[in-house]
Amino acid sequence: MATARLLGASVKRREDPRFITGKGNYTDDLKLPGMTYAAFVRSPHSHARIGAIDTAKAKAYPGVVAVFTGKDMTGVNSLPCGWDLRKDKNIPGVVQDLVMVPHMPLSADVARHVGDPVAVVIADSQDAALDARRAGHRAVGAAALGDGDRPRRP
Amino acid sequence: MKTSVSMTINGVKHTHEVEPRLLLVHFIRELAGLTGTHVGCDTSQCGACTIHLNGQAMKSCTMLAVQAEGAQIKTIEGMATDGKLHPIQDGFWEKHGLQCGFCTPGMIMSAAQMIERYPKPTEEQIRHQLEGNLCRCTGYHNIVKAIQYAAEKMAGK
Repeated sequence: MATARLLGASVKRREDPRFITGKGNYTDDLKLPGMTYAAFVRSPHSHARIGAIDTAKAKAYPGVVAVFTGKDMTGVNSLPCGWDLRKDKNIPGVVQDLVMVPHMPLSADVARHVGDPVAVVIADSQDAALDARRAGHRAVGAAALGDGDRPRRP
Repeated sequence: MKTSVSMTINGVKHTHEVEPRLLLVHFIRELAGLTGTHVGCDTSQCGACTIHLNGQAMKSCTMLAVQAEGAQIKTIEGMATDGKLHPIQDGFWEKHGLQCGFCTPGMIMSAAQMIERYPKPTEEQIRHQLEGNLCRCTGYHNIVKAIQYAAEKMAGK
């Protein structure tokens, strides 16, 4: 009986042969026709107002297909981001007062953590995307927010 | 400006025109098409890109492709011979030394040189020698067992 071979036995995994021979085929291993590559420009500040972003230099790089910033996110849906504000957390299975805070793929006004994406470069090769992103980093104006300059809570 | 570079990977000669800044790992993955060698961190910490260069285990993201001109390289794809798994590969399968498998090629390549250096490695030696290989599934315990299993098998040969 099949169960007798499974219960209480150490069963070898069927997926392992491809992983131990280098044939895993992870996302980074995929090559699709017409594939493009994204490189994100991320905030180096934990809390900063985003100034003007000049995308001209990044757009002019050879191989660059598009450059988007937070201002281009008009009409784009917010990423799902639920915030559980239940007063009584001990009710099992009941979620009250779940707040869906806006969380855009790219921030337009304020970067709220180190690594918050503020722009993205799309190019036909990874090298081109990374080269153009370097230009993007220089083109992002940011003013770090101080204590008296906090944006209002959502 | 591109420059020509040639190396032998798993017994096959590969020659390509590359930018001087191209990393060895990208030569192996993108130009030789051997995607078993992984880029895990981009910062030379994780060891997922470990290969053998002229018999020496090293992180292929710490080296430029042009520096490997004329080198003999072995990757995870070259470990099994004639469809038969290397004892280390066997050990990882047998002892459940992997979950997602992303770090596994680097672990196996590091382990190969480790067993060459220490044919009968102690648990402490294995853990110390694997310092440069990170597993985000944190399955280190079974990785140690897999390497011990492989070392015993290789010693008994």
